[in-house]
Amino acid sequence: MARKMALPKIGVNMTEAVIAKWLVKPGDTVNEGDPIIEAETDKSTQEIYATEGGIVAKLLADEGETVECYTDIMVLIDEGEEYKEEEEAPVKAEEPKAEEPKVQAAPPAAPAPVPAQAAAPAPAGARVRVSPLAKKIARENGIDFHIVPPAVPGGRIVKNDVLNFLANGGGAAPGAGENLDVIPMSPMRKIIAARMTQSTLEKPCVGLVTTADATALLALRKKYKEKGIKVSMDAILAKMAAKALTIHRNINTVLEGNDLLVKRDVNVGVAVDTEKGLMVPVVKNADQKSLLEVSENLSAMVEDAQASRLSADNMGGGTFTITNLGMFGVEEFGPIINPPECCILGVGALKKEFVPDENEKPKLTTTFKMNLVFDHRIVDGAPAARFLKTLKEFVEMPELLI
Amino acid sequence: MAVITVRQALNDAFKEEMKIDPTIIMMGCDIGVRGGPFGITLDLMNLYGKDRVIDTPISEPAFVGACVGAAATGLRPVAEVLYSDWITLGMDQLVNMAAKMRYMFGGKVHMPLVVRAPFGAGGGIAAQHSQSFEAWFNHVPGFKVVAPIEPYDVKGMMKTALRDDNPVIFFEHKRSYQLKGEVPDGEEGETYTVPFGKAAVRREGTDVTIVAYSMMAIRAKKAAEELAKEGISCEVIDLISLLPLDYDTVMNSIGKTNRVVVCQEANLRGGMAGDIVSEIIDRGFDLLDAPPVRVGALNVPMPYNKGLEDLCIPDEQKIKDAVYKVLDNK
Amino acid sequence: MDKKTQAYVKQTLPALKELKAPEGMSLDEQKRIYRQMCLIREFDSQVKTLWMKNEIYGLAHSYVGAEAIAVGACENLNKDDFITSTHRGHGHTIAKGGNTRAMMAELHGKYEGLNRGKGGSMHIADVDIGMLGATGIVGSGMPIAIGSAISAKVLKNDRVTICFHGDGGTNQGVWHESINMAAAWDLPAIFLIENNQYAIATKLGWVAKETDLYKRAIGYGIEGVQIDGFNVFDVYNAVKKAVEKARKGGGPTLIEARYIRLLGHFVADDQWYRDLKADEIFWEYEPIKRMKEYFISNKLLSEEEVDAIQQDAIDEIADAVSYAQNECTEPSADTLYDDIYADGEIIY
Repeated sequence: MARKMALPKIGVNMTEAVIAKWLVKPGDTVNEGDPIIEAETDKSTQEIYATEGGIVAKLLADEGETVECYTDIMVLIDEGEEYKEEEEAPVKAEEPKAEEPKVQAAPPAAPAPVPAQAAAPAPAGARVRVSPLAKKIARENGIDFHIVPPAVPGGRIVKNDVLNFLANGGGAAPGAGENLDVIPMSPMRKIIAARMTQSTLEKPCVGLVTTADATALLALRKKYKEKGIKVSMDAILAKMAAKALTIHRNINTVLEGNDLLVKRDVNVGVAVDTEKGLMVPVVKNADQKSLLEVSENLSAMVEDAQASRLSADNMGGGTFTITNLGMFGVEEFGPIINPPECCILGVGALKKEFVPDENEKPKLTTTFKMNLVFDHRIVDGAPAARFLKTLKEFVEMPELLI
Repeated sequence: MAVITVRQALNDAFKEEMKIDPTIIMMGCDIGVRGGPFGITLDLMNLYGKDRVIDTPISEPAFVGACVGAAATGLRPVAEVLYSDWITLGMDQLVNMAAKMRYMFGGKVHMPLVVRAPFGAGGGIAAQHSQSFEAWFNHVPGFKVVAPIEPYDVKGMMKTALRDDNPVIFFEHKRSYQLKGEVPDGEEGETYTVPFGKAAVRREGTDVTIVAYSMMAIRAKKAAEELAKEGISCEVIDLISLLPLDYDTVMNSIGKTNRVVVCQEANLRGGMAGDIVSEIIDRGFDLLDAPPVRVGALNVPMPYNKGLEDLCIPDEQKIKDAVYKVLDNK
Repeated sequence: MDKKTQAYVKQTLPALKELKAPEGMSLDEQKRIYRQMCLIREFDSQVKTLWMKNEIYGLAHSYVGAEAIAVGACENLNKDDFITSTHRGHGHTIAKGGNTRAMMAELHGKYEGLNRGKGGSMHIADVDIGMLGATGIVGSGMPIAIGSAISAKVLKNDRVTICFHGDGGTNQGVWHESINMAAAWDLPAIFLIENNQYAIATKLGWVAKETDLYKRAIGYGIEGVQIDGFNVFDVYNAVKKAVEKARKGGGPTLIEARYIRLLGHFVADDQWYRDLKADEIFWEYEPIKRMKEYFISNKLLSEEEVDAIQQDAIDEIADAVSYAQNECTEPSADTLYDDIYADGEIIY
């Protein structure tokens, strides 16, 4: 029995995927769980697996095409079965032709002008055929060619279609005709945008800033370095935050409806800047891992993220996030919480300054600022401040970790 | 201006160039006493002697190779292969020697060689006498490849070829020899030349660019005339020279029309048209408002039967169909 | 005939011999040989006319004058023996037993033709009777003959191959390469040069120092003979000997059948490049005329009886033309891609 397999949704926030490469072709036998597509999703480029087995009869989406989740992407048949195109015809069948009008048309109407708006824009998700020239003109005028109706219904969008569309006032988008480049949002960019908006709209946020003495932390790094082990500041902070979260479990909490879900797993995410945009690899159970384990785990995932091969597994399920812009000289900033988490820690640049020592004498010290932004719906200022204080103590006295 | 045939244009080019350059020699079957199977070399043996116009045995590998050797050692030989199909026999010497001797030998060899290759189909001469192999030579670095069709270009291009220090494969359409056209007479007629790598716009137009060469340029012009009556304005480009190829003229035209049909008489697969379309896409993908359309012979050996032969050879109607196709946005 | 003419004839046809039937050849067999030659003569006479009337398309090369060679040679062959041909292939096909109806249909481009209308005169072939096809590439039959001889040797089926080719072909490199291989490996092949002394308009003497082509055999270590190409019995005898030797594993023989082309290179060649007047004398030596004289002078047949044989051949060809023109069909467009690949596979 011929059946269609739809694009599975493999991440909570995945709504669509760009099919980067088909890994199967008609005639191939696939088993459930076999990789079938290399797809660019909101997360990164990853393999998508067959949700059922069979023989591939037909691929319904082209490489490069953006497909919404649950849209059919291929037809599977059974061994010994022959696939006939007609089987899917009823779904796609043209609308029944209108009956010839019974009454003779009165005076012959003037021939319709070349229909500028005769055909509707292509339905969402359908493959749109567009000439390179039309695409370029649309881009230059800041319009999405998908909304341009082709003169021939279902036909290719060509130069004249775009020009007619523009002449009729179609889609004069902001910036049209200006000297700029219009780049459609990538799936990942769209996801980042949606989540940041969601967070900003939903979460009443408060930011708490503290300055930490980095002397001990830097000494720790130096010791490792002398042993030939590279441990990043982010890894150390992740480990320390994890430890602090086990003490302040009310911070390791998400809000769902009217329930506060206090998580037992302590999963710390670290924001990474990649060519394709922001990605957050998550160190699972960071509280139960040694500092070196956290460090190795994190650096491997950072490498994967840079190479667009970070798996969905390693991106979801975070309970706390650290974001560090210190390397750009940013001293302090208030990041947006990665929903549904409760807090995010913004880490600033290391800075040398004179700080009074116990004898009130100026002492040159390396410090940095930590900005904890928290969701006031979940916790109040005092518990959040306690967490930050604990974290600061770890930073200044790493031996407390033991 | 005088109106002469392609045959006369070639004959005149040889007469004039052989007169001023005593290093030009010719080799081929029946080219001397008989004046060439197609009459292109008439009188040349009488005028310039048996040492310079050489009737060869039917030994293409040897006489084509001999021309390569003579070119490397101070002469400017012209080899005539009776039908271009038989250039296969001299292929080793051309591809492995003529095209690369200069390069292999450190730039110390010149290869002022012209190979005359009567090509093209029609007339029921079937599978071994109808082929067009220009794409093979386009594929090999070292050759220049030309296929002029108008008497003016044929004469001027032959003179350029005879004066050039590179191996030039000169494709003459074997059904064009009687074709007439205007050629300058008097002193200008003896001195003008047509350069490599410069195409001619045979007809200006705004809707579709038709790129063609040799007999297909003639057919494209006729097709364009018929299409004009239907309100379709075609710009017809006669490439004249295939390697080097005048992509500037081609791209300028496409910049105007945004649609292109590329025609060849050879089998479509693996031909010049595919190569030209690839280059067009590389240079100006954004200029295209429709996928380029190729016109060429069906991918079959040329059949003898006239009805089947007509189906294979691309004619005016097939060019018109290609224009309709490139204009159709369905 | 004046002395000058005599000298010219002697020089042109050095192997000229009186017709004498081979020992043991029956009169019936001689009559069949005569009929076969008449068939070729009439076939190609009609072809010329039909070409002029545009009933036959493309190029056609006449075998008129060479009938003795194809017929004398093929009389020694079995149906499953092979021959390779030239661009002048009508005579070879008829001599090997080709069906004149199917041949004429082919020249008319009909679907019922030997090549389904796709080959025409220049590529006429009847592989079922071992006629491996006419080819437009001079000399290209030589290595094909080496191949069929190797096939016979490997498959041990006793078949021999006669490779017909012209004097023009002997100057292709592949001619030399092929004979060397056949000689080296004692292949069952007979190289039969139809030396008509012209490569289109180029006289052999202009492009070859030694025009006695059979002498080239010495260089390859094989036997070479020169025979009278206008004399069907002389051809028969020489080829018989060569075939017997080849079948016994004795290797190849080079036979130069010397004659002169009586008509043009192809049917519309007016031969302005040669002195036709001087060559008119050779019509006296053409094989059919000589064989007719042989029958009559040796009182084997009356003139009427000889003419009746000829008339029979003429009738057969008339029937073939009528068949091609009235009973055959044009190949349909859907046959265009047939036979490019094996087993009906079509790759557009």
